[in-house]
Amino acid sequence: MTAASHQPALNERELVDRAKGGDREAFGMLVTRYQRRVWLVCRQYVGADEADPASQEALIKAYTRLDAFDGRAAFSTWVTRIAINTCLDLLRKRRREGLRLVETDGDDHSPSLDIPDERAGPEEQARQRQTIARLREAEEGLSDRQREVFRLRFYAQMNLEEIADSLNVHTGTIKTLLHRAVHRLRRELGDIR
Amino acid sequence: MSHHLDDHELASAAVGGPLESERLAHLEGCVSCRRSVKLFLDHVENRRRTMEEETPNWDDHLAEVLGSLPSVPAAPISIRRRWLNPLLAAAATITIAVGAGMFVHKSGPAPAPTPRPEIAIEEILAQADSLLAEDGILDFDVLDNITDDDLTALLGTQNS
Repeated sequence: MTAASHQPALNERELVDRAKGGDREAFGMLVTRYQRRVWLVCRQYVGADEADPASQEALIKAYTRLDAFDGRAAFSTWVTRIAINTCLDLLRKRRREGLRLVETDGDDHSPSLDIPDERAGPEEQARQRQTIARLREAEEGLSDRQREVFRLRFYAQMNLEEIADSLNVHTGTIKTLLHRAVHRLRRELGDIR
Repeated sequence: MSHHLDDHELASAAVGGPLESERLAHLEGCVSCRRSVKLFLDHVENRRRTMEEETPNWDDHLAEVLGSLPSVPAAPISIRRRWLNPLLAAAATITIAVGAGMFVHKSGPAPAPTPRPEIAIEEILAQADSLLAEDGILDFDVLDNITDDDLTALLGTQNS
């Protein structure tokens, strides 16, 4: 039984302090809160196949670097930044090793993964599948930065300030990139209703 | 009724960006514009759901992370790292400074630069040669006229 389990209502700061002291249960509570976010972020960079190991590596790195967390940013932002850096390192490593690079996509293009809404009828499901494929294809036409921001906003469900903090750029820049990305995607998908 | 939102305004509406109040009022009252925005967001949401289907079992994911944590908290390592780099930098600076000092000391002080003569040496020597070539050098004509006997007598007088 560790200290964290005695006080279930610990706030984030207290959990971080306890985890810094080696309380693994406290760190486990932080992981429970943020692992979905971290996984979804990793998913956008390295694809579904490598999102599991990448997100686990990012969370372990966070634990080993907890003493560097000074609380100036939110813990979620800090751990997201670690996740992004972990993925970029992974992509660089892939590039060095000459492996096929999927950093511009993060998808494995398997049609079976285009899972439509099961509540929809067969025709509607087919239409959704087609739309998802078109959207994914259209995302490839975005610049790397536009695609990154678009995916973090809509797929990892981060807000603009979180994205700006995580990528260390101004919120205004994020707004501009996002606007351009959506404008272009809408144009590409224009005939799909 | 005002005209429909243009592409940029629709994009702005889709990302929750700012719209002029008049355009916002149009959007709220226009089924076509609202449908256009919603349609795009629905496409994105459908794609996002496909990603949700790929997410792992979170309990397993948590167990994997906790099972891979180092047994010792990282703080001591990080504190060491925090001091290590400045310490190495200081040591390197001192080593370089001492090395450079020893090298300078061993080589001795740098020689003072030779002052450049204002008159060319060749010119001075040429003037001296021309003077020596002349027979009638002041105060030396006595020696020119003296004979060997006179010189022997003179030296013999000085020695005695």
